[in-house]
Amino acid sequence: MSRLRALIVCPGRGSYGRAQLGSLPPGDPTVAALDRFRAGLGRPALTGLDRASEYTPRLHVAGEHASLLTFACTAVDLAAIDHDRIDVVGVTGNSLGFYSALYAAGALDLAGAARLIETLGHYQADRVIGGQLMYPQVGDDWRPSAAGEAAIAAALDHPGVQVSIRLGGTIVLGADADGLDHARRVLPAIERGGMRYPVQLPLHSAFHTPLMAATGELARAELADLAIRAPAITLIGGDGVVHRPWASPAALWSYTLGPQLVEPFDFTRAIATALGELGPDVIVLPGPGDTLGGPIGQILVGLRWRGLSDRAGFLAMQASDRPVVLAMHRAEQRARVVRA
Amino acid sequence: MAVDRAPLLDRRFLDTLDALAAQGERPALPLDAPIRAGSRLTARQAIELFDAQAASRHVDYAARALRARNEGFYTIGSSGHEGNAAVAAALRPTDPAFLHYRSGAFFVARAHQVPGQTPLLDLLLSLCASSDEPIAGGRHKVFGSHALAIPPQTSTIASHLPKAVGAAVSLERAARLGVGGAMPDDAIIVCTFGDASANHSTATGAINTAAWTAFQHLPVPILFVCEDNGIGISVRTPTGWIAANYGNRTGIHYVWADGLDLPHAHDAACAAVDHVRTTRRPAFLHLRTVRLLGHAGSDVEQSYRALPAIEADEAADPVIATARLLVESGARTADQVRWQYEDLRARVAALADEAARRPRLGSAAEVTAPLAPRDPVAIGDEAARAAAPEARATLWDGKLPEHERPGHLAVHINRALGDLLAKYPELIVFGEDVARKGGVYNVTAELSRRAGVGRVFNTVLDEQSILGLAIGAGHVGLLPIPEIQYLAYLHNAEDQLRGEAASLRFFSNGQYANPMVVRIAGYAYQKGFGGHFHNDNSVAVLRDIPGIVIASPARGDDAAGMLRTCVAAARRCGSVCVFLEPIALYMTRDLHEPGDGLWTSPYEPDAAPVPIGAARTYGTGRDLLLVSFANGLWMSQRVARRLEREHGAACRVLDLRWLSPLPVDDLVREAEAVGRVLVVDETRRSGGVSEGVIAALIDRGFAGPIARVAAVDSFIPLGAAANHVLVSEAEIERAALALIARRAGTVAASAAAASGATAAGAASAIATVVTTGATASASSGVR
Repeated sequence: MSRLRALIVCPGRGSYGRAQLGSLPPGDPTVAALDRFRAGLGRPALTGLDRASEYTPRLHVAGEHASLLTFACTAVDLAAIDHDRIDVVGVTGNSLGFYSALYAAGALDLAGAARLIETLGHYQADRVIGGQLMYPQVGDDWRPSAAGEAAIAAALDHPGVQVSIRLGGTIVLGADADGLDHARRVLPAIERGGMRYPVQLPLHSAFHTPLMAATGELARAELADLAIRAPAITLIGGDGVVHRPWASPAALWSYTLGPQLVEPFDFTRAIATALGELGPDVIVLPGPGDTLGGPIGQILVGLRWRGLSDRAGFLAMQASDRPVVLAMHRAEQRARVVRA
Repeated sequence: MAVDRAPLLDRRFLDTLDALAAQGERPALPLDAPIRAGSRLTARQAIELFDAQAASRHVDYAARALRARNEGFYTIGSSGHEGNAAVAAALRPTDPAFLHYRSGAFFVARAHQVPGQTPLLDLLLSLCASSDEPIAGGRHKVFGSHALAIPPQTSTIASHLPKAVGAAVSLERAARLGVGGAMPDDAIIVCTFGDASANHSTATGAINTAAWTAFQHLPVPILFVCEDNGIGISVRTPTGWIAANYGNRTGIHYVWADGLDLPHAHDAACAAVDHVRTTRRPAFLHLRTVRLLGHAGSDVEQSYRALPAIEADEAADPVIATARLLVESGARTADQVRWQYEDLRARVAALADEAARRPRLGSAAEVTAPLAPRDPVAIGDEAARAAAPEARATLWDGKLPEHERPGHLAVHINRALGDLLAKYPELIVFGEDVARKGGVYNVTAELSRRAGVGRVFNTVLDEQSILGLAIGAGHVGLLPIPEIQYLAYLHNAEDQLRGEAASLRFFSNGQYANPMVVRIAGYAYQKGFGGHFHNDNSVAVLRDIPGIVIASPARGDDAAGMLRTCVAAARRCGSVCVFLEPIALYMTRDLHEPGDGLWTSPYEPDAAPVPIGAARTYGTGRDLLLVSFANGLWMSQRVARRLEREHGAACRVLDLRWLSPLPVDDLVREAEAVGRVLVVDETRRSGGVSEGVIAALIDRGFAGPIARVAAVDSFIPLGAAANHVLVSEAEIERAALALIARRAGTVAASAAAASGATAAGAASAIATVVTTGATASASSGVR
């Protein structure tokens, strides 16, 4: 049987939630290495955070912990992929997930990825800059909603509000304090999938906006020697650029610590580019949770990929014997990806 | 039985890699190093370009597989031409590219320069004619992309060269007029074509126009790329012909490039591009290629070429040549190249399956949606928007035309053009003799002096180049009003309207537009200046072009209003408009008697706009409706008065004003109100306007009597002989009276039946007014 051609999509920081406590397998060498790395910095071990008896948002959501915790879960899953069944043809990620994608694509080794993620994550400790606000721009059926788009346009009509992430049917706005006030004021409260919007992501800075310029400057100085290599597997950035195995490492470093931090992260475009250039059979979501499943489904519907035209069609495909998205967080889908 | 060469070509590639692998590994070449000593091409760029070349090759293979499964519909490929990827690399992705149909590698290479592009899926959707395809929406297999500055071209041979030259000329003109900005100021145009197409008169005309322009030291930043594979379908290009013909053309810098050797092609292309970009003068890049896999999938090449010749071309395969270069230079190992090639094969196969599942156009409405969308309200608002008073005052030297005495048609068009030049800084007027001479009929008199030679200028004597300039000007954001000096001269260039200008919105799914208003002096009835070429009355060639607007004013006031509307439609909706001006009425002042001045009118800059497709009705008579336009309107009004005065018949006259779209609602309304229709058509009986008018009446269920008078199916002879084939007032009058008599006969028959007399007797009494000898054309009404 031929291998499934898979696009790997690594999750962002918001994906480690209460349900993910206890995700890290005991004795895993990757986790052990990351714990040693953290210990060297005098910071609490990931294992301890993961095994905490309670989920403490102040701890588990904070960037200085959640970033590497999310990466650790992702890295563990990446190592579990059965390459006899899965042919990884491309890698991308959302926001922090792009750093994980650098690792998954072989552009960074474990130490390099840990250093990059820990450095940027730790900048967040007690230094959250502005904030991120999520709002849907599609209806319940995942088809475009004129009202949603109009509301987002109104929110963006303020100098302190920018697009932070284009996340399928959801826009993540990045804003300063005034901008957040404005956006909350003009975005009508609505409910989608049991969640009330707009939603502010707790303890998240206004990533991917000009508000991160100083952070970027700091990171470029501190990580000047970060050894980014050409990826071994095709890697797609949040600007839609496809980095092939002969890509320029310098260009990849510049993007990672430059535009990637201060310009909108176009996850939608990254996925669309990956699909249209690579034609994967499946999209595999490693790491904690499966919160990217919805946005990816919305992107597939927007592209009419495999004839999908709405949410119901996507859910039916997911329930079929040939699901298009395989979240490693879900046991039955994980079974299609990992070694038996 | 013909052998499918595609698997053999594929095998040859893999065998070459095996042979290279067997030679052992070479020292690795740093990817930032030149791929060859002295070349401007780095190893990394060469690998990237190989990716584009191999991608294009696999798309060609997929095209054949899709066709075999009846899921794809186009197999003219790019195999052997993949050296054109190097041309893309030498250019910027913002340089507008007008590409021919073997441009797969160029397209992919350019797409790789712009983030977020999916050239593989896009090309496969195009092969499958899917409505999801992002440029033509499933209307044609084209190379095109708005994001990549590649306007879509269909496959009419070399028909894209005139507009490419037009775009190059306009690029500079727009910048100098301060109305550029549609593309970077230092952009250049690239235009590709084959060696066989280089012989087409359209190509030679366009290249000549570029040379003619450059010879006068005017900027024409265009790179012509002749991809010379030595054969056009089955006809060989004489060896050395392209170099001999284009190697030493005045005004055009010639550069030879070996498209079978990537570094050579790249460096030569860079040199040619540098020349064009820095000097703003044209260059001709002669790119050597081979044609592999025949002309198209259906072409059995072995039926007209010897196998050794075919195999010799296959041995020169540029994709194999680049693979060899990568391995032998140490930039890649043979295994890495094989991985890259096979990875592309797998990706293309997967994406072909996806493309084949995508939807296709489902109805005529879907197909035609982007053809010519017009927003009447927006057009009306735009037409009514006045030019700035200061701009008008400057243009007219303070003497505003509305204060002049009533003027004839030519004056009105001149004044309207002047006001439009004042209103739109991006508007340009051009054609043969339109500048200092003011046109053959003085219609553009003084405009060049008033608006400047940069905006009202003479062109080369070549209608294809004039219309190509208009298309190109529209592409770069100008608002062109080209003039075709005589209607007969349109015919040698008609495809520039039909195949190019009118089709752009269609084949770009509305993403590109080339707005224009083409003024054409036409029709017959010139006194003392006869003959076919100055009195042509054939408009059939225009009437069936989908989507275009054809205006045909007869009076000055209508002409000014309709011209403003056409320009507004061009500006707001990208419309392609043709403005047919009756030469014989240019200077006509009187209608019924000498000195009555009834064919003149005051110039009113603020007159209400004339909506597209709105007719104009004269009189309220109920005996007969005369439907006409242009010279026919003038004659019909004269006949109508005679009928009233001499026969007591009250006629109504309807001026169609618009020949496309016809004012069907107005026409049917007036026809129903009157009950009898005579169509007075100065164009030819076959293919003329009256065919459309009568068909429209029948289609809408008009049941009254209809007849027509139309010009004889003939060319227009010189002198008085012209009158034998043109519609005359006498003929109109006879036909009108016959129609009225037919109605009278019907009435008489009813009366006779009631009284017991014969219908024939009663009718003959009433029909005594009918002059004898009503012509065949007049008496052969539809009912």
